Amino acid sequence: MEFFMPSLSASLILSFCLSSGFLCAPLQAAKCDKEGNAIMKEQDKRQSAKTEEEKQKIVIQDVKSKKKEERDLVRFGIKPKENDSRSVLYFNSPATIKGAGLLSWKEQGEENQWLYIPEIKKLQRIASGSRKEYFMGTDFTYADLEGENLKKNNYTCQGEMACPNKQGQCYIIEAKPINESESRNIGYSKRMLLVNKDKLITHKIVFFDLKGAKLKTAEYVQWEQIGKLWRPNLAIMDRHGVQKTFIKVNSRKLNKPIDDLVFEKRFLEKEMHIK
Amino acid sequence: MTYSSRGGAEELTLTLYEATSDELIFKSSDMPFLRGQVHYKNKSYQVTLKDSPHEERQRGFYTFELEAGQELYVTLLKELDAEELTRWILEIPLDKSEQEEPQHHHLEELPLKRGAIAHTLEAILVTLYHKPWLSALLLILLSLFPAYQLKNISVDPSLDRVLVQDSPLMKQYKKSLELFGSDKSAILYFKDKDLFQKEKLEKLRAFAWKLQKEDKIARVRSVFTTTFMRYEKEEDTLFTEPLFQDLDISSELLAKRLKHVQKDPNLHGRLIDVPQKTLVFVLELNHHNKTMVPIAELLNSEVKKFKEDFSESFQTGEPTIELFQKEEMAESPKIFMPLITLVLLICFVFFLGSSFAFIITLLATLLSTAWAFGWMTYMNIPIQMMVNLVPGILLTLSATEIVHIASSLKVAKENHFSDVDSLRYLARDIGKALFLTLSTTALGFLSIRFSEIKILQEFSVVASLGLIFAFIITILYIPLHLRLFPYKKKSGSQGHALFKGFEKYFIRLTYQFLFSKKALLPLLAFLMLNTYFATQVEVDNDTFRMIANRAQVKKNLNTFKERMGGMKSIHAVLSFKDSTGEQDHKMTDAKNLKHLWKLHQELEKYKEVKHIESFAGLIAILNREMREGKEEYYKVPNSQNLISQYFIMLSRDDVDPLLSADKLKTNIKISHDLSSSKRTEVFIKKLEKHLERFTKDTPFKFHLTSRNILNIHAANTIISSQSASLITMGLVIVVLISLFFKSLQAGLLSLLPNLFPIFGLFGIMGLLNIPLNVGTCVVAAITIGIAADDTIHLFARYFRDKETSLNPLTASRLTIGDEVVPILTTSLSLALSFSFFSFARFIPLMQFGLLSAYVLLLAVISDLYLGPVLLSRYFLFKEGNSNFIKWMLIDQKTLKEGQVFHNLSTAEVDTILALSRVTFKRENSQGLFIPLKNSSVDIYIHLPTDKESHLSPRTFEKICHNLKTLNLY
Repeated sequence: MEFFMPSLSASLILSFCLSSGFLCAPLQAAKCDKEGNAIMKEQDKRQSAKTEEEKQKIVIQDVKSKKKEERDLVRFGIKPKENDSRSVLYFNSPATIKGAGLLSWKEQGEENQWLYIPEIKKLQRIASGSRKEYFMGTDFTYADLEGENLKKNNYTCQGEMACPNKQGQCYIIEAKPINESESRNIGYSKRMLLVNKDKLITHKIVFFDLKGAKLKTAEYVQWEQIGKLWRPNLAIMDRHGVQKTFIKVNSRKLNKPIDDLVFEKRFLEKEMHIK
Repeated sequence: MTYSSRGGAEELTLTLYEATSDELIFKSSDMPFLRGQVHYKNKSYQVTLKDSPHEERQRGFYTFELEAGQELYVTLLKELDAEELTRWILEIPLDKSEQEEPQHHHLEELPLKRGAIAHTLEAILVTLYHKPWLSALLLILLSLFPAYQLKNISVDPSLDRVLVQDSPLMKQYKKSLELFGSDKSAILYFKDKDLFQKEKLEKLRAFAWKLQKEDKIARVRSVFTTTFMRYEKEEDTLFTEPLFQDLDISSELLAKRLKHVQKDPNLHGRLIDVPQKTLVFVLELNHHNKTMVPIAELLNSEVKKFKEDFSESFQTGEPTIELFQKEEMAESPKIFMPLITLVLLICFVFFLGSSFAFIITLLATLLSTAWAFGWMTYMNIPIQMMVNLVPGILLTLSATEIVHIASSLKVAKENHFSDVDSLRYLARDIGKALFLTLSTTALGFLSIRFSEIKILQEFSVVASLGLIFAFIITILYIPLHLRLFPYKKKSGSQGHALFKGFEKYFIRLTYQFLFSKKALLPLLAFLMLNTYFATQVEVDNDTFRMIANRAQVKKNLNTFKERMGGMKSIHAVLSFKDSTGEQDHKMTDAKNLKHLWKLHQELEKYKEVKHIESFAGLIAILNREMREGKEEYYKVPNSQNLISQYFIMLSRDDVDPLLSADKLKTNIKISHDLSSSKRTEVFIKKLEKHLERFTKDTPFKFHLTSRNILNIHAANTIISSQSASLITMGLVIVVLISLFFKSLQAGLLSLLPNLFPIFGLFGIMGLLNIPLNVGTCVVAAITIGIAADDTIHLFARYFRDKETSLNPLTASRLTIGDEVVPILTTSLSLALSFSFFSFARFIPLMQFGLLSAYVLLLAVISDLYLGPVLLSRYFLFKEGNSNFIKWMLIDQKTLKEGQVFHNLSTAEVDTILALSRVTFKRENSQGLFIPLKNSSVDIYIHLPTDKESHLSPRTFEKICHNLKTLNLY
């Protein structure tokens, strides 16, 4: 997962530009010097990590009532081979959901997920067909959390503009699912990304629903460089007028060894994650 | 031949010197007046005198005094039954007078008073006659603004207009929309014996996905798009994806899934019926959509494409009703207005003998409609289902007035007045009445403004404006018309003769009965029966019931209701009694959820309930499927942790319609199929009681909301506003009529003829189970408008005739004679025209037409009978009677054989009668009051004290003796 940080004013301008589908002339410096797919491929190559470990605090805020829910989450991810990946995440708080977890395997094109419900001590395999479903009540869908799927999207560079917070120049990339079916699977007709030209990190993503209306906006801020890789320590997903989700990364390790056991079913079944 | 009366000191000798089939011409003897019977050729006739050179010629009956040798022309009337006393009052030989050359009067000779209104109207008409260009110019200028506005005219068939907009219930409803989404939905129904074949499912799936992209649709609920939580044992997997998201499955798996889905109450019976091989799409609409018509049109065109693929496929639900209304609003005028216009043309020409009234009616209707719609557009009022009735209403009420105008002009022409003098005559004859009818009718329609329902408020404004414009247009146009097409008096039409025949034979036959006390019984019975049935009238604002069964839209609604049902819903919104937030509780707390699950199960037991959807139900399903589908787990778990863990699994799309984001409110959707407002209201009361019991011992409070509830509320306001409207109209009529005739009694007397049709209206509605809805509730206002129009003309005519005629009964007879043609012309032609609406597919329109036709016919009775009878009775009571009435009313044969005149000779009785006057009450005067108990009316013979001396002592002694014996002295 890659997170980038724009400035507020640039974000607003970008939001206006992106949502109106109009590239504001004063901000448009030049046409793209690279093709969209190439840019995203390069991003994947540059920013991918073999393993990732994060401790996150998730805050879900209802826009109207302003009420917040906080959750502590631990996440592990591994990419044993190209196009294969495994991840596990589980909640440490609040107490009512402590130990609830999700295990995902993507291997040889097949996807499997298991949900662990600690109260009934059951690891239940769940159908992973609904990638457009929201993850655990947040505003991130399962598809969002997977990161960019280069095989299932077509990326087109629409132009360039100044990145938020004077972070340099950014590509404006339009990401469209390769077909109608994929569009329906992820629940978006398209996404507009603001990708830093230099660092190839994504500062912002605007998501458009199947009707073409703006659905939500993700901003990636508080970027930290870990080795050659960049990661945002704060991601904010704003589901306009409905809810906001803040994902704050409290600690992170990249490319450090992780025990394979963590990605096994018994890790959750035996409640090793709790212990 | 000489004829002498028998007996008595007073004798009449007549010399017959000419006889025709119905007339004997006698020469008189030296009698002061004529009474008694004449026998000629063994037949008996009552006799009245037709003419006298000593009396000014007046219409109707005459009293007179003869001098000896004076010639009398006696017209023989038909042979009378002794009991039919008053009948011959009506047998004025107008046939003969009508066959004569009409009298030519000068305008000023006519006893027509000219008040301020008549004066003003006369000035306007005469000025416009002399300056026809001014008429044309004013008509054009006044048309400019509305014509300009018409380009912005809009149509709004939205069902929201039948709701009360500014009410606490509406505010509550809107809040609930923001929290839980809309309850407006369109429904698509597909049925086929091979429905679950892959090819057909793929087509429907593609269609569902396409609909998800439609802006006006907030959510598509179908087996292709809605979460179907199930545990599949073979794969040991919990699925949450829609049932038919993936169609690349084996037939065995498909069969298993179809079996499994029958356990899910949120899907089976709602979105799928496996045994019936039916699939349903429920399209929840964006609640910001102003009207559902565009989506209904879109869906209709889309569903048509599936006609070949499925044995049944159609759209149903509220959008189709709005679309139907829009189509009816466009089509009905095209069908009915030409029919009505044609009928009016035929009737007017047939009954009035000219097209004058028709042309002016048509012009006034067309132009006033255009002006009213133009102004309406300016006021941002769209054409809606009630405003659509305005042209028909303007046609009715304009016709009523213009027929009176035409009749008045006809009379003027019979007097050979010039066109200018005809206009003057018109102003003086009926000017005041015209203004009065306009005022009462316009105010009557404005009284509908009391309604809280937007559609009726708008209707009242447009109808009132239209009426005022129709009056203005008529006044402006008539002088112009007379200049362009000078009025030529035509001979009486066949219809006219028909009405006169009706008047002569039927009204005369029945009038006496109505005048008698015996008529009170049927009248009271009519009023009481109708009052009883009126109490059975229900209100109904159910939009589903506003469509005739033969319309395809209704057939689809009924099909869906029979096979799937649950199209209507009531939402029970629960929140916490403690709203301060001090107690940190949520609907997702285990304890609270347990209460909600219990409520869910209790509500499911009501027979009216088709389906319950609640957050507790959702958790129960998830709990069951997480436990491998075991039924014993179909319940809310006790563990708070488990509930929280389940909760994070749910998607917001599934939860949002049932639980607010802050978890402090929950929405329980109660689906049902109750069709009438009354039955729904009964059910709502049951629910309220249940919820009151439930919330008593729980931390919850509740309120019920939904469009259903708003419809019921609007229905109930119809009653209160209808009552307010009727009371206001009644007061307006009494006040205005009292003011105009300077008589409170006149105002009060006018109530019964105006209310008579109202009794009949509500009585027939109760008897035939016709509900009070947005269509029928305006019929009462129109009823009073029509009845008041004719009553006012009748009263105006009566008061005038009363001044010139000898007695109240004669005045009523004359009034009927003058009014029968216009009243019957308008009433019959309009009743026939309105009856065409019985073919309408929009039920309130159909009911409006039939009830209006019925009311028009009742108005004939009240105008031609009740009004004159009441007036005559009143004045007879008030004023007593003249000697002439004595001859008419008293059954002399019965009188002479009665106990009062026992032992008195005919001559003695005749003498007493001659010296007496007849009165209808015992007065505080000196003299003998002799009651005539056998008469059909209460009559006393009053022999004043000063007249007693004229009797022989013996005669006086006899009569006193009889009265003492009968305890009457």
